[in-house]
Amino acid sequence: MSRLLLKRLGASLVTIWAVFTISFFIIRAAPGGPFDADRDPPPDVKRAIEERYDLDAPLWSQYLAQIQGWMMLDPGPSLRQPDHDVASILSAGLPISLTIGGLALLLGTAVGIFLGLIAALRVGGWLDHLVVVIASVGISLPLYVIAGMLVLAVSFGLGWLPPAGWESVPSLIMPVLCLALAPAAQAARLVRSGLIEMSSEEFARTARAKGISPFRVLFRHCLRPALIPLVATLGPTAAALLTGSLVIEQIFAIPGVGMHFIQGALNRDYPLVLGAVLLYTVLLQLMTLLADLMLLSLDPRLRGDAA
Amino acid sequence: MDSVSPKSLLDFRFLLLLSLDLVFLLLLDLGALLDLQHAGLGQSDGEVFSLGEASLSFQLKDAFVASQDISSSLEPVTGLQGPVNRHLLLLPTGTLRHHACWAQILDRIDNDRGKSPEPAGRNRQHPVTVQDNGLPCYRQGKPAIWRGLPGRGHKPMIAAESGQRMKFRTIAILISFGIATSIMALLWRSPLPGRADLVIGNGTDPGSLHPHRATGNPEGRIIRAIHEGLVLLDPETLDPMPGCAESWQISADGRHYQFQIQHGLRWSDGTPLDADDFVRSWLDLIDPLQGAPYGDLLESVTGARQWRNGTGEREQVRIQSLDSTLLEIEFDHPVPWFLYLCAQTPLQPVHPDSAGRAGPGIATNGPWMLTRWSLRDRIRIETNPEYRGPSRPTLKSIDFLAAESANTQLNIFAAGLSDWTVRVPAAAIPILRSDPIWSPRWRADPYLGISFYRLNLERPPLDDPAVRRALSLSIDRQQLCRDVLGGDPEPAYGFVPWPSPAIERQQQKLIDRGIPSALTSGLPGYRAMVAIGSEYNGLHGVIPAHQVASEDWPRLGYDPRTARELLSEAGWRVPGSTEGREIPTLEILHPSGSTSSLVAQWLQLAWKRELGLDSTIQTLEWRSFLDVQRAVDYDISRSNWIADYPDPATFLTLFTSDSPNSRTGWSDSEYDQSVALALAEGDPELRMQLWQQAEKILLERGPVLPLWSMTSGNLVSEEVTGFFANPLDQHDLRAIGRRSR
Repeated sequence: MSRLLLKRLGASLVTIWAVFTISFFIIRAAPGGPFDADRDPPPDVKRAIEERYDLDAPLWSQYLAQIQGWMMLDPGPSLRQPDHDVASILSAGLPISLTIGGLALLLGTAVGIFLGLIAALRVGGWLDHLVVVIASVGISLPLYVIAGMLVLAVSFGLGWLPPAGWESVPSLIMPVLCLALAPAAQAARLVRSGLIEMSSEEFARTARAKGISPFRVLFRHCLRPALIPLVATLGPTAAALLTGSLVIEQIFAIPGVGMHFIQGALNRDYPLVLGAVLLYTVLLQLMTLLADLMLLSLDPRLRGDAA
Repeated sequence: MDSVSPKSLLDFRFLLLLSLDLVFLLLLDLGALLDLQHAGLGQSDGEVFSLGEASLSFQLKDAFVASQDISSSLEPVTGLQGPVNRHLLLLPTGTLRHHACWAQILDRIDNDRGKSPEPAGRNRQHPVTVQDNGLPCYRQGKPAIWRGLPGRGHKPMIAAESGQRMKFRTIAILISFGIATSIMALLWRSPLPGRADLVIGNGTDPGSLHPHRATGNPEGRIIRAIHEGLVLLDPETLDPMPGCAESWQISADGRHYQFQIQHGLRWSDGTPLDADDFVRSWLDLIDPLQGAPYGDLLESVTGARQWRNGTGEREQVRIQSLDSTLLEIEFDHPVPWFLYLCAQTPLQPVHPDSAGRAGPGIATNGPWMLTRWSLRDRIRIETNPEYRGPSRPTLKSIDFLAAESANTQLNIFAAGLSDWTVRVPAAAIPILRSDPIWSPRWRADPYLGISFYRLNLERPPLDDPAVRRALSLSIDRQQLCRDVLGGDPEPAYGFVPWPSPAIERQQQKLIDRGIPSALTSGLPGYRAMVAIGSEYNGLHGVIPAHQVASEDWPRLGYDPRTARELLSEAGWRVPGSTEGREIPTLEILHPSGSTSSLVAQWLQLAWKRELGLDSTIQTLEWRSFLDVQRAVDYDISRSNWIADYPDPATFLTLFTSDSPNSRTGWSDSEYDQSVALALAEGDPELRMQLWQQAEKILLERGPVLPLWSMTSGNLVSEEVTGFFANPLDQHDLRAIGRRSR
């Protein structure tokens, strides 16, 4: 097991390095620079600004400087907000995105598994159809539509929650609900189809024949194999949720890291974009690793090679 | 504590939280690996046990790995040879055959009771022994966590029940742990001590709050509150009032200024502030090596241009302090807008220890100081106890919200969480103007900015002046302002915005909506020029705007018939005729954005309908757009220009040959001369006439297609007092108050 983990760690490091390098050169290739404005200063002043941030050095030396900076976890100031370091900007937003994403993941997965379970209990029944409809709607409706309707109904209609902002626990509720809908819908669909497949297996029929209630058969015996496809997709889903949904953060004015991915690129804020890319890659590798470990524990067939 | 001072990712809060979350996830996972979930999977009598094949193989691997005895006895059943666990794993799980195999193994164990097989290799430390109660265990002293088939005389394992309890308890603990860490993350931020006296939706998280590095209005609003310059501006008239300077004298030729600085001024850290601070700050602003984007505002100071070119020295620039309270500046030519500039963001004094940064730890000199910068959330400023200047503001704390989406800002304002917001969604403007609840709060005041299209005069057919005139005459700007832009802006036919007829019409619009406005003119003392259609009251071509009656303003520059006549006279083909050359296709370039897109489509439609001209639309992301525009690689491209100060010079110096922002490739020596003459002229009346001449040249043969004069849009709650309209949208927070708390 530890050899496996070490190999995975090595592969992850190589992936992170490759992503960093490619992103570095791609964002430099985009036209325009971070200090372009409608009202430009004279060219020599602009050159002085770029020198301040070492943007006039040759590209390979900037690349090495960035690598060195990131190894020391001190990548320097953001180009758009030079009063702040990239590290502080990302670490200010990361706990917030993690909180919202983590809660949304937990809630969404739990609710989704539950929905899939009750749908598979009586396949073709009204509950099953209801769950399928809810799941389809949840996957198809765009986030800003759901969020907009929720804000209209809850904030302005009922007046229970603030429409935006990041003040205290009530501000959490609507963003988490909106964000949890998609993973819940996906989980419900996957678990439902997995359970339907598993419940036609011989062991399930044996269990049923021995008099175990249908719910117990599904929950105790069929759920574990049915969870396998869900866990396989959980890695990337978790990484995406945890780095914050851009749309949710914009609509609810939440100071997470999601915005930095897009705005950093639009502003040509090179260190910030690289930081955001690195963050996402590391999280993705971590989440994929955890998901694979969970898969290993869920499905012993995968462990045959490790024996 | 907020993220202003440089902190690396080794911030302990972040690490703590990250490790807690990771630990939570790992525990949940390891829990599965260590079999906490499988402890209770077998049930009481009457059920088939589903042996978490996982768990059994895990333990059997240790216990039975090379047990020849068992392997050979299983051969008839499995038909396979070799180590037990691997073969068993290959059997389809859950089948009866699978269960039969396990039954055989357990039989075997029963029969070998009392005998402990010797495990080979590394599992020597985990022998299988048989306990006193007759049950085998695979670890010394600990019961094996598996069970036998019902009805075989085995008692259910004691571990099962406790395992079940252990399972639920563990999972409950882990989940509540996870939720607790999440809530902790949320509440980790030190809570805000209540709502600020005034909450402003600022439109974005500011870039830099250093006066020399800031470039936009969101930054400017905050900087002008936490700093104080030599001069403050009257909120209604923008006339200069004493700030750090008690009084000032201007020489007769308008080139020498002397300021008396108030005694006893202090920075917010208690250190004294005097004229030397202003000298140092302004020289740093001009310094070419420090790269301040607005350093050119002081370029007309004697010696500044030479220093920036590299032919002069810092000491030769004529900004001096004669003693600690006397400040003297000399200019190359008269700068009538200099007092206005003294109140602007780039000319605010900067503390000597700031080192190019700004934030809660850096001292400033205004009536408020920066106490909190929560990134992408809000900035809070509170009363500065060391302030000794003349202002007496009533607000003690002000919040600037960083929400960027216009819809979100509207929601926040509607819920009463903010008192003033500077951005609204464009689609909401017609409702804001007409709805009786919203209309009193929607302030759309004239703003000294012009929205126009830059023309590339090198590209055919734009090199033909007849085509340029025809393009301008064939668009109905009034319809554009009313239907596409929501009704607030006014059509523009000249380059300097808001001439008197437009101002009169704007005031009438405000009166119709029930909002009084004290605005009398856009640029005081200047009579802008406008390009008209065929004829107006016997006048042709480019005429002074004040000669136009305000009722005639909407249709002044709209004359499609004359446009078509001009084209056919010049030899181009017009709709309805077959003679003449066909006009080449034009490409309309604009940056991404809903309003720009609508305007481009509207232009495309109008030109096709009136002139038969085909055009294509090209959209680019903002910085790519700027890149293309700078390279002058376009036919026509969308542009705005906003005044830096209230004088026609800010608009008319844009297209001189040496201007860095022309981006048209146009160069006309007569225009350059005319602008230089106007800049050097001391007599105000003569000056204005010279500016009129320059504008006339620009409108006759320059690279511009003016469209509309811009308006500022602010949503201001009725509780806010002291908010006045002025043409530069500068609302000094010192004058603003809030009625109820």
